[in-house]
Amino acid sequence: MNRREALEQLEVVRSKSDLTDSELAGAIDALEDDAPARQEFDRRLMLDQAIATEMRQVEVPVGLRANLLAACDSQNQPAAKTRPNKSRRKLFAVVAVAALALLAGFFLLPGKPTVSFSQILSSAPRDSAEIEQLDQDFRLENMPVALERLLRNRPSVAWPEAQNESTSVVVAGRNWVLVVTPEDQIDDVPNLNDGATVGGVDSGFAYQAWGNEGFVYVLFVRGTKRDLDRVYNREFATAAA
Amino acid sequence: MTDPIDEPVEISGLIDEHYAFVFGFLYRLSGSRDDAEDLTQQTFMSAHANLQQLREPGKARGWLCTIGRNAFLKLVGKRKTSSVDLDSLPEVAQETNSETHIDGEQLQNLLNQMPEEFRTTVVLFYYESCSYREIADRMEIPIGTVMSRLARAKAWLRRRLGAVEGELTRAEQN
Repeated sequence: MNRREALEQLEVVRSKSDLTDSELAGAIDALEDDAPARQEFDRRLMLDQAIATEMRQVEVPVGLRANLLAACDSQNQPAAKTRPNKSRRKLFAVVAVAALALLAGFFLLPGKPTVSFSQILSSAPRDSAEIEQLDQDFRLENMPVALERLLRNRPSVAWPEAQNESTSVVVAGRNWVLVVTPEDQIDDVPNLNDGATVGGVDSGFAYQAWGNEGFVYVLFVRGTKRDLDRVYNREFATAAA
Repeated sequence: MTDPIDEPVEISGLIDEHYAFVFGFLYRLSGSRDDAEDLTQQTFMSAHANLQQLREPGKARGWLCTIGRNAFLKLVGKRKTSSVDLDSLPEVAQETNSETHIDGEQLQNLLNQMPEEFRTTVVLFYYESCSYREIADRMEIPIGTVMSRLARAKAWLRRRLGAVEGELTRAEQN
C-alpha cells in the first residue's frame, strides 16, 4: 500500500467496520515510518473536524417545530386530504349559495360578474395568514387540473367575498398568495400570452401575473422581487410555462 | 411493564427529537433555508403516513434523513438542474489559511457547487458522521464508489478552503 492509498483509507474510516483488520494494519504500517505522511494525516483530520463542526452549525427557523406538529396533526383529521369537516360544511354552503345565485342569475342577472385587473392588484387579499385564518375551501368552475392540485390541502377563499359576485379563488401558501381569475371575467385582461408576465412591487408585496389555460394568475409575496422569484421558481415555474 | 421496543413510535416524539437535525441536513443538501423548511415538512408528513415502516426506532434519524433526501432528489429532478463533474468546476485561487477555521457561508457555497451525488456523500460523512459503509447503504452504491467520491470531494474542498497543503500533497498534485 502506498502513502496516498494509506492516507485515503485512514481518512475516510469512521469505525473499525469500515476496514478489515488487514486493511487497517496495512494503512497504519504504511504511515508508521513516514513522518511527512503522518503530519499530513493529522492536518487533514484537523480540517475534517473543523468542517464537521461548521457544517453542524445550522440555525433552525423559529416556529418550525410547531408547524411540523400542526402539519402532522392535520393528517390525523378524517378526510384531511380534502380539508376538515368544518370546511366541507362550508363548501356545501358555498355550493348551495352558488346554485341559488346561478338560478337567480338565470332569471335576474345580466351575466357573469367581472373584475378589473387593477382591482385584483389593489384589493385582492395578499396576506397568507389572513387566508389561513378563514380556513375555507373554495373552487372555481372548470379549474385546470394543475390548479386543482395546487389547491389540495391549502386554504382557498372566494374573492370578492360576496359569493354571487366572486370572480376569483385566492389560495394561500406558506408565504405567498395566488389569485386566480378566469380571463373572461376580467374587464381589462393584460396581454399575458406566450409566457409573458407582468409584475412589480407594491406596499411591501412583490407581485407577478401570468396567463395559462384561460385563467389569469397573480402571485403576491411579501418582500422583494427576489423573494417572489424564489417562490415562483419553486412552486409555479413549471405550471406557468 | 411494557418493553420499550414494543412501544409505538409517536410522530410528535420523532419531531421533538429530530426536527432540528433533519432541517440542518436538508439545509446542507439544498443550500436554501426555504427549501429545507418545505422539505422538512414533507419529510415528517411522509414519516407520519408511513410510521409502520420504521421497524427500529433507534434508526429513526437515518430513516428520516433518507426520506428527506428522496424528497430533495424529487425537488432537484423537477428543477432539472444539470450535474457537473467536480473536475470541471473552475479552480479559484485561495489564500492559504494556516488556521483550521472554516467560514460557514463559504462552506455552503462550496457544497452548492458540488454535484448532488458528491454533496450528499460529503454531508452524510461530515454532518451525520456516517461511516462509508453506512453511506453506501443509504445511497445504495458500492463502497468503492463512496471511498472514491469522498476522497475526491475532500481533496476538492481542501483546495477550495485554502487549507495549507502539506509537502506530500503538493508533491502528489504535481
